[in-house]
Amino acid sequence: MSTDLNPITVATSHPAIIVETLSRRRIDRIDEPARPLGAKRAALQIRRKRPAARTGRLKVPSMESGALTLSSQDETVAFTLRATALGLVIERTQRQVLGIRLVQVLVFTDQPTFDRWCEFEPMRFEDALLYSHLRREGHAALTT
Amino acid sequence: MQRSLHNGDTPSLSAEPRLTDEDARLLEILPLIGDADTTETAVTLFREAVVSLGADAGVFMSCLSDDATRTSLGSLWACDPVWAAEYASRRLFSHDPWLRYATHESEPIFTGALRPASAEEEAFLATAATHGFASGVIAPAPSGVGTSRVGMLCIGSQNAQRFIDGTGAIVRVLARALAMELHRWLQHSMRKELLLKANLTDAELELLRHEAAGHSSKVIGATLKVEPTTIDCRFQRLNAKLDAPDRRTALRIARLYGLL
Repeated sequence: MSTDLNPITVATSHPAIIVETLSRRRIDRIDEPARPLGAKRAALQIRRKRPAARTGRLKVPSMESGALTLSSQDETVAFTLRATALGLVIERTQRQVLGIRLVQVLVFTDQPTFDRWCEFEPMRFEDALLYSHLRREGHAALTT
Repeated sequence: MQRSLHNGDTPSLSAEPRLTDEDARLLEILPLIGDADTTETAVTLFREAVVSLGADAGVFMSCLSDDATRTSLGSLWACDPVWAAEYASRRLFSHDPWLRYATHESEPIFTGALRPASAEEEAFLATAATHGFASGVIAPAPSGVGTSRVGMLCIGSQNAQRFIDGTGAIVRVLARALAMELHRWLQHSMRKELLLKANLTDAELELLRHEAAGHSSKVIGATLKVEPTTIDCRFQRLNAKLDAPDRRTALRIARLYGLL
């Protein structure tokens, strides 16, 4: 993998101090695909990112700056609901231990459209409790 | 109306395509999107922009390759919400021909000219057609960091003849401008979110600048008058905050999200 060659000297937070380095660390090029991790480090990273085991307890919804966040038990899917003058804004976040983290932002201005989306939402079958909570909160936001 | 250029001809202004009221409205919306302070404002303006372009549906995505194991895909959906649900549940991002095109090309293209590279991509296009993308324009939003961060706008219509070759240069130009403004907004939004989540201190940003300069722990330690092991510990805390496996990846994330 090619690397950037950086200047040997750099001005630090103390401009008077100029550090000369004899050996420089390799820097990955930002416009190239990320460097693959070694087997040991990759395994460690997977272990760190694996969600905590289920406790059997309900995931408590969190309310921050007018937005309600509902998460699935395994924390792989979360919905942030925000009732605004423009409609109901939903931010759906889908995480994988490794791979793609998908964040979708949608706006709903009426209940029938919201219900139609809910019908196709995979959480309907994967986490029924979360799904019913999502529908209830969505309806409440759209009727106020 | 299309402009033609023959040998030696100078394009006359009278031959230029004229802006409609909708085009003019879109030009007013564009700067507001890039500077939108909330998600709801951005997505509402996006919906209005889609309508101004004469489209029925629009999707914008920004793809960041954070590290070797993780890619962040931020997206705004101004279309049939069922399409968004299907995209997520069937993990269509793995076979997304729109995103593939935007990753490798910079010119806008009509969806009819897109050649699927696999059966899955063909199925993707067929499903998209049923959700308001029977015809469409894909406008890539390239960045200065190559394929590590790309944006993609797709605007579509239920009318299969709405966006086809000969539709006009204005749509191509406006779609490209909209893609770049949405990319700008999403980039700022993701940066703000990361800063809030990671809560990095000035000292930690300084450490990242040292890393960007290729300095080892010994060199940084000598500069800051602390032990190299202390620098290693500080980097470990920093890596945890950025959810990075090592300091090189932490630097990559910081550069991709514009923290430095």
